[in-house]
Parts: sequence; C-alpha cells; structure tokens
Amino acid sequence: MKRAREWRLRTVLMVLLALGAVATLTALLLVGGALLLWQQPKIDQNNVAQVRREAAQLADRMEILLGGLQRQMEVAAALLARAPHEARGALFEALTGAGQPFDAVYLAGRDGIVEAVSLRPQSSMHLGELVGSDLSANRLYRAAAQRKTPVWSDKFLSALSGDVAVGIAVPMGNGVLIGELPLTELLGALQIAIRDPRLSVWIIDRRGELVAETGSEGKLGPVNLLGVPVVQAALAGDLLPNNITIGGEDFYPAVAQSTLLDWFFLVRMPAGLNDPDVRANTLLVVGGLASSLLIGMLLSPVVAGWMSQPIRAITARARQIAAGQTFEGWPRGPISELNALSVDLETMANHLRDRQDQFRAVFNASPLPMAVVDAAGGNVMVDINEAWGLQFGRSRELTVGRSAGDLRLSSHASEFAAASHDALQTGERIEVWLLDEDRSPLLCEFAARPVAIEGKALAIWVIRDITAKKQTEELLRANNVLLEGVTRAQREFILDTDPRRGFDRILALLLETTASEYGFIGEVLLEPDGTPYLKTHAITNIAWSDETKDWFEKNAPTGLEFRRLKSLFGAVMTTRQTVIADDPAHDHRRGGVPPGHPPLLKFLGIPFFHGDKMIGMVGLANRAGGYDEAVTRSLEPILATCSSLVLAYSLVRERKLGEEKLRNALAEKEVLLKEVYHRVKNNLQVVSSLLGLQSRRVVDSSAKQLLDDGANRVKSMALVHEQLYRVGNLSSIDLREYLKQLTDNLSNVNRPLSTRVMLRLHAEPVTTGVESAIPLGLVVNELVSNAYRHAYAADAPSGSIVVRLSGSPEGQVCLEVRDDGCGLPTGFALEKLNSLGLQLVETLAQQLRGTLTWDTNAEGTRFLLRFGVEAHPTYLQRS
Amino acid sequence: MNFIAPLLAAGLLLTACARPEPIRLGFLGSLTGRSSDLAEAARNGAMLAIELRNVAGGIHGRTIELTVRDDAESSETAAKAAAELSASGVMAIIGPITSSMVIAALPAAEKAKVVMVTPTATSMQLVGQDDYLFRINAATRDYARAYADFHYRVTGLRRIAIAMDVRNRAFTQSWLDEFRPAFTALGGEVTTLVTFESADNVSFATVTDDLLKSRPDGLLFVAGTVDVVRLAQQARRRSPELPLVAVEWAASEKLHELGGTAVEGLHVVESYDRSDRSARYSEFVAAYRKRFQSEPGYTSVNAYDATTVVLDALGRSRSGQGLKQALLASGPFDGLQQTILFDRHGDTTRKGYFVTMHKGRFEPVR
Repeated sequence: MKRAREWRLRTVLMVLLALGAVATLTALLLVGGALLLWQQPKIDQNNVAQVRREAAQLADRMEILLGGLQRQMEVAAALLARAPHEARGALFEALTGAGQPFDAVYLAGRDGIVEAVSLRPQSSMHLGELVGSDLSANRLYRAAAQRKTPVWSDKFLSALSGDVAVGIAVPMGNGVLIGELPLTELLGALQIAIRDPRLSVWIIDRRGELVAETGSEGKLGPVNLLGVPVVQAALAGDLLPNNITIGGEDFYPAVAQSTLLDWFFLVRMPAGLNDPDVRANTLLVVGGLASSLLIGMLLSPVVAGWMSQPIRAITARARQIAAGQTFEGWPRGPISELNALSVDLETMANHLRDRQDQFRAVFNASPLPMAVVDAAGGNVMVDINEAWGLQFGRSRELTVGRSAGDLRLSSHASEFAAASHDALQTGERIEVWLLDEDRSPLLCEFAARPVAIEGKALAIWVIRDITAKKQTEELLRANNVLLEGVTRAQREFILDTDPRRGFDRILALLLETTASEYGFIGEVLLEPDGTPYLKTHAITNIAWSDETKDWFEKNAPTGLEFRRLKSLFGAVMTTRQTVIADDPAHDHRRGGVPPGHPPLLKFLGIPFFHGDKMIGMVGLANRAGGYDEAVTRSLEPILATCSSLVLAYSLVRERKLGEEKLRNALAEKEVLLKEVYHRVKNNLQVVSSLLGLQSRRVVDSSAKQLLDDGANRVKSMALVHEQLYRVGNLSSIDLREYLKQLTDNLSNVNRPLSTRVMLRLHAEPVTTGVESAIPLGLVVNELVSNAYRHAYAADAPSGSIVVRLSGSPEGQVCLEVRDDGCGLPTGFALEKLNSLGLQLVETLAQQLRGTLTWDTNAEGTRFLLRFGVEAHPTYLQRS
Repeated sequence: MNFIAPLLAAGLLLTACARPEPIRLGFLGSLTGRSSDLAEAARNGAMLAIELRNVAGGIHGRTIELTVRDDAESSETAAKAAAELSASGVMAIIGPITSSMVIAALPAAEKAKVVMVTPTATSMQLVGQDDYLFRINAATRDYARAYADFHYRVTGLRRIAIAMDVRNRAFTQSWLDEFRPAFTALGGEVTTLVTFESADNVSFATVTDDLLKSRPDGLLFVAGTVDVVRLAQQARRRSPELPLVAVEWAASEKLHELGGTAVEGLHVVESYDRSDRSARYSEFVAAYRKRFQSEPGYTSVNAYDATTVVLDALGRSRSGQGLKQALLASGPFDGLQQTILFDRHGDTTRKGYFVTMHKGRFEPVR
C-alpha cells in the first residue's frame, strides 16, 4: 500500500496561511479587475475626449507659432517689394540673422530663377553660386506663384542647401519669396506647443511624410504614414477609432488638421498600461498587493510556528524519550486536548522506561560482551553491555554512536565489516581478530543475529575472547610441527644414503619456523693450528649470478667452507655466543657481503655444542620482524637435533675413513696372497717339471712310474694354486674348473691310451676351500691314474673313464670316478694294498673327513668319495 | 497540483488564439541629407511591396512589418542602425542605398547573420563576396562600360571631363575605375578628373571651371542628385550646349524639380524601363502614385523588387532553411520588369536603360 506523503505541521500551517493570503489577494484582484472593466468605457471616453481636445489646441497653437513666421515673411516680402534695390541685401540678411528660424531665404523671379539669397551667417555655402539657380520646377515655388497666396510646403529636399526642410513661400510681385525652415526648428516649435507631456505628436504633410515627431522615436521609424488607417480615416473625414495600435502599443488617437499649414497633427496618448499615470497607479496597486502578499508569506512561517509550538514541544519530548534522554516534566499549555495528550504520553514513557531498565539489567548481566549495532548504517554502536565495555576498555558513553570503524575494533575495517555482514546473513560463528583499547589483538569468536528494535532492523553482536586458547593450540601445533620436522630429519638422516638430505630438511624447518629468507647449517671444524672454520651441511641457494650459481652447484654437495672470522658468522665461532644483528650493514662485527649478494637485513647466528665442544652453528637471515631471544629459544629443539646430526655425521665420516683403511689393507693382503699363490704354483710347477725331466731320464719303469706319479701329484696341487690366484677369489676354488684342468692334464699325461680310453668329466659347479680342493685333486689324480694304469691293457682299443662331481645344498660333496676296465682284483682291500696311490686316496679321504667306497666287477670299477664341507654360502653354492 | 492542468490548458488555448507574430523586415537608407530623395523613394517601394503582400494575406498567415531607420549618410550611424535592426529580430534588411553605406552597415548584419538586400548599390567591392549581402542592381562594371560604349558610339563623345564625389567613393571610384579603361579602349579620352567631397562648402563653380579647362566635348558627373544639379547649373551658365552626362546614382525623380532647366538634356541610365506598359508595372505605378502621391523612381522599383524577393524567399523557404539559403536556392524571382536570379555570391544582373531629360521628364533614348 502506498504510503501518503508526510508533511510537517508547521509547513502545513504555513502553506495554509500562505494560501489564505493568496486567496484573499486574488479575490481583491478579481474584484478590482471587475471594477476596472466596468469603468473602462468611461475612462476611454474621457481620454479620447481629452486627446482630441489637446489635438485641436495643438493645431491652433502651431498655427499661431508658424503663422507668426508666415506673417514675418509676408511683411518682409512687402518691404522687399518696396525697398530700393540696394537696401534689399540688408533686409535679406536680417531674415536669416541671429535669432531667426530660417536657414535660407531666397527670392525667385518670375521665371523661377533665384535672384537673391540669404543664408545663416555660419553657413559655408557659396552664396554667389546659388543666385541664378533655376527653381521653376520647384513645387513650392510653383504653388505660391500659381495661388498668389502664402503656401507652406511638404517636407522637401532643398536644391540649394541639400538639406531636408519645410518652407514657406510668399508671393512677392511677380516672384516668390521662400524661407526654408529646418526640421529641428519645427520640432522646437512643436515641443513648445505641447502642454501635456503624455502626448506624442506626429506632424504629417500632405504626402503622409513625417515632418516632425515628439516622444521617443517610433518603433516603425520614419515611415510614410499615409497608409495608417487612422490617418486615412482623418483624411476621409471618418470617425476615428477610440484606440489604435502602433508598433504593438495602444494609444488614444486624435487628428487635427491645420488649414493654414495644410498638415495633419496626429496626437497619441498612451492607452492602458502605456499611459504613465495608469502604469504608475497600476504599479502602486500591484506593488501594494504584492507587498501584502509578501508580508503574508513572511509572516505565515512565524504564525505557523507559534501555532504549532505546543505540538512541537510534545514531539520533542517524545523524541528525547526515544533517544533515551532524561528530562524533567512534560509540557503543559492552554489547550486541554494537548495537555491530555501530554499526560498520556508521560504515562506511556514511564512504562517504556521501566521495561527498558529490565532489559538493560539482563543485557548487562551477560558475561559475554554484547553490542547492539546498526549493521545497515555502517555498524554504528547503538548499545553495549558492561562485558563489552570491560573487554574493549571503553565505556558505554565512549562507544555508543560510533561505528566499529571509528572505534578501530579491527585493524582491517573493511574485511571486518564484510565478515560481520556475512556472519549476520548466515548466522554462523566466525573467528575474527579485534583490537582492545591498547590495540592488542584479540582473537574472538563472533556471532551476529538480526533484531528489530523500535521498528528498526539492527543486529546483536556477541563475542568470546579465545585468544589464550588459540595461542595454546597454536603453540602445540607449532611444537608438533617442530617435533615432526625434527623426527623426520633424523629418520631421513639415518635411513637416507645421503645424510645431507636430513640437514636440508632441518634447514627448511628452520627457515619456515623463523620465517627467514635464507640460511645455513654448518659444522665448525678446526684448522691444524686450531683456528675454527665453517663447513656447511645445508645452505640456501642464493646464487645471484651465473658464476656463483656454477660455484654453488659444484661445491655445495660436498659442503662449502667459510674461513673469514671477521664476519657475523665468524663472531659466532670466535665468541661461541649467539649473534643477533638487527642492522647488519652497520654492525661492528660485520664482514660485508660481496657485490650482488642478496641484501642482508637481519642476522641470527646460534652455535651448538657437544658437551663443551662447539661442533656447529646455524645462520639465518632476513626475518621480517628481526630476531630475538624468544626466537632463539624456540629453536633449541632443532639445535639439539642439529648437534646430534652433526655429531652422527662426524662419526659416520670417521667410520667410513676406518673402513677405507681396512679395505686398502685387505687389498694389499690379496695382492700379497696372489703373489704367494703364484709363486707356490710356480714352485710346484718347477717341482713337477723337474720330476718329469727326471722321469724321462730314468730307465727303470717303476722308478719312472714313481717319478711320473710324483710329478702328477705336484701338478694337481699346482693347478689348485693357479686356480686360486687366477679366479681372483683367494679363499675358494671352483671345483668344476679345477677338475676340468686336472682331467685335461691327466688325459695328456696318459697318451696315447687316453686317445682310446676317453676321460670324461661331469661336474656340477661346486666351490670349496683350498683345504678341501688339494686333497680332492690328489684323489682324482690317483684314481684316474690308477684306472689308466691298471684297468686297461696298454693296447685296449677303447674305454671310458668318467669323473663325476656333485654337491648338495647341505654341504655334502660326492666324487665318483668310474671306469669300464677290467675291474679290481678279487679280494681287493685298500688296507692290504701296497700301492702308495690308493693309500694316499684313503689318507686323503680321511683328511677330508669323508667316506670312500667302491665297487667293482668285470665291467669296471667305481669309487665314491663323500665328504662334507662347511655350510657357508661362500664355500658351497651353486652358481 | 490539480489546478495546474486547467491553467496549462488555458495557456495553450490563449496561445493558439493569439495572432501570429508578424514577420519583421528592416529598411536602412539616408532619409535625411543630400540623397534622401533616393532613400525615400526606395523606402516607399519597400513599403508598397509589404503593404500589398499584407493585403494579399501575408506569408503563411503572418503579416509583415517594416522598421525604418535613417543612416543620415553617416558610416557610424549606418553601422549602429544595422546592428539595432539585427538585434530587434528583423529577418532581413532592405538597403542601404549607396555603396559606402552598404560597406559601413554590412559587418553588423554579417555578425548577426542577417541578410541585407541592397536595391541599388553597385560597387565592385561588393561583387563576388560570399557574405550576407544580396544585390538587386547590376554591377558598376556593367553600367560604366555601357556608359562608355553608349557615349562613344551614340552621343559621339570623345573627350570627357569627369567630376567625382569622393564622399561615396566606394561607388564613385569603382565606377571611374571601370569607365575610364573602357572609354579609353574605345578611343575616348578622359580629359580631366576633378574630385570633391559632397558638402555645403563645395564650390561647384570652381569644380566646373576646372572641368572646362581641359576643353572637353562632354561632362560626366559621378555624383548624387543634388550635386549633379549644382554642377549642371554651373555648367549651363558657362557652356550651355555642352553635353552633360550623370551616373545612374543621380537618376532621381526629383532631378527636374531640383534642377529645372539646368538638367535639360542630361543623359543618365536607369535600372528599369520607365516606358514599360505591362499590366504589372502599370499596376505598380498606379498603386505607388495613389499611396505616396508621387512618381516612382529607379530606387522605388529596385526596392520593390528587393522586398518582393525577400518575401517570396521567405514564403518558399523550407523548415530550418535560413533566408540566405532560401534566396540562393529558391530563385528565380519575378521582379517588376526583370527576372532575378542570384549567383552563389548573392549577385545578379540587371538591364540598364539610357534616358535623357527632356522637358522635365526622362525620356528613353531611342
């Protein structure tokens, strides 16, 4: 529903009073206008009669004035006619002399030729040139000559003077005496003749030309007036209209004709408002009415104010009540209805005040700070409770009426305004940073709810200070982060192959924790002369050029070394104290930074120790707020970790150095052992060769056999040593390779029989120590040699001797030597044999802690040797 | 606020019933002084054209009103009067009559962008200019060459002495500059040139004596009516038979009344054909005589044409089209005797007619 527009009582009263005044004056105007209309015909009649009277009188007066000039000319003509010729000059001059109105007077003879001329003394015309001029065609001359009576001219251009003038021509004998009267002279006469200053006069000649005019120049200018209806009516003798309009203005007209001059006098008197008197009276009346209206208008606010004063007083009290102000007494006046209203309002106000007090008590009793806020009006505080005042250190008087921005509740006013608005819209609790009286930040839980108070949409803000709680949570979280970081760094240090990653993580943690731009973790080492220097384990890459970038990438992985003690970090190493520099550029301990180095604005250097020994330091730079003791203290857990890591790193470094030494010693031993094996093998080879040479020189076959056996045995041992130094593993023998070389050797030794009785090897890859390999090789040597020697006849066409080696994961080795020869003699027993070879086999089997078995028949013999080796991956493995 | 609507309605009704505002034109000429005969005749021609048009219903129902101003043959007065007329809201100014006054008044009209239509001015200074001036008459060059040709070939003059009024030098010098080379080219000779500034103190006897010293076979007066009369009177006394020639400026209907027998035989050129017997011209002459009780002269005819041209252009102009554009675009216009068509500079051509004063009347030269 559209609400009707409201007006102030005083305004309404003022408008009503003003309208009353206007209505009254309008009525006066209407009545006055009606009276004027009623009187207008009479006024017109009187004015017309007056102007006609004036016109007639004016014509008479002009006739008198100009008639005098005419008579003067007539007298002059009479005198000139009678005067002797020589006296004419003086008489002529007198006609245009001082005080005379004529510009020129001349006498034209019968034929119109000018005979004599008189000009004003001041005229510059050449008088003589004018005499003789022909005026026979001149209209005035001709009229006077024809009529033989004085004639006044129309306005004409004088051939003699070249001026526009009017003239009077008087017959003189056969000639005509003509006087030229300047228009200005005529105008002067006219102005003399006019008595009433309101009148304007046009003198119009026979042709309608304006001869003279009074009053201000007409709007139309010097027109020919013969076409004007009023002139035409006058010429026709018709009744003139009562009113004419010329140039848009109304006049009362009258026309009078001068028979003497044959001119018309058109006299005008301004009509209506053009009449100065009417205009003055009208202005007086209108001015009076306007003044009355103005006074009425000016007084209406005063009267309206006086009339509305009691209501305004009551309204003011009500407004004070609404604003919560106190005052004494309600207004009383002479109007009983208004007094009753005042009493009722007072009662109502007291009730309202009691309820307001109750609400205020509840409001103030709340332990939580609360405020009533005009959220739509820029968060202006309408009311606050006591808790609010205590929280923010401002009284209610200092708070109410000011906006949250004015009170500087938040350092970020616009963000707070937006957040409070959102909280009001969503109804959710939010956390905001507010400022108390000391500008200390308070983290508060903030809630806002809309309320309508006295028809106005407001908001209630409730806050809870959670600063301490948050700080505790934050500290806990920070410690957790720190602990997690430290733990992670230690774990990575332990597990990672590159311990520097652990330092990198610690450095990252330090930079993050302190909000520093760059820094390093370094180990303090000592020069041989005891001077400390720094070797970094982690450092921020702040390379500022290609050169420093290359240098960093090349050296950082192994640690950068810094030896300048005249520096801020040097001061840490030399003083063993923490160094805090808030203005490094002017610190007396400074060492300066090289050109291009990123600016060093703040510096913190902290040493860390193992026992009393300073083992390292941390350097940090460019924390926004600088460094202090609190920052230093907060880093203690990290520094302890740094200390442990540096210590561990140095121990690892020392252990690695020891291992390196051991490795070197082992390598030296292996070289030595290889050399020994080589020499043993060479010696055995020499012995075997000597036995072979010996055998070839011995004739006795048995002796020869003995020597060959010895050579083969030595050879088998030499092969073991050769195998040892060749394969590179000085402590184990690959039995398959060894047996291959051994059987090849045996096959060679037993030629040519071995070309028919084939020696074959089937060996699994079994590795064993030298202590087992040599006996095993001797066993194979003896069994194969025996087979060639005893199992086959020297001319045996074919045969096969098989050596088979196998091993089990449990460390059991099985050697089988089989032939398809004639078999062992019946009743064969090792212990009964006188054969050194087989006894040696028996002995070697025992040495190997093995068991030797055999079986034999007519199709051949098989020896089986089973023995165990230590179950060691190095010693027994399948490749 | 309910009372406003009836008031507005009443106001609109009153406005609708009110008589249309008249179209206002101005006239500027030397209504006092030595050339007032020409200016008065021109003013009458303009008034007659307007009065006849008003009788015929005006222009689109609007009457025409003429405001007349006298420049008193003063450059200052002419400029001031032109400014006042322009400021008063006239649509056009008819006039001035002489070239010097046109040159004096034109800047004020130009400034106010008010069209000025001179019925008579012919100076070459005014020809070919893109301004707010429109000329009804031919150019000085046309008249001066026609004079040279006519008098060399017809009247047989070979040696001409010239008296020239420098007060209206804009016209007279221009006239001389065109005449002399044309006459000389034909074989004629200007035996002498005597200048004077038209005023009371001029000794026309002396001027005439100076002219005659060169023993010319004819005298040429480059001056206005009154001065030509004075010169003629002096010349007749000294050499009654010597042929007298005056420029078109002096071709006033008052010439005979002012000069009497002294101007008998005087040759001039008129910018209209006074022997015209056409109905239109005859009606004009009759209306003029009745209205002003005098004979129309060449300035009357030209001013009548000038005013008619302006009124026709106003009647023909399209909405939003200025008078200057209408004059340039909506021609040709019917003059009393000649068709008038402006070129882009507002100039036109006009035929001249040689006449000779014979027994007090101008008679065409056959």
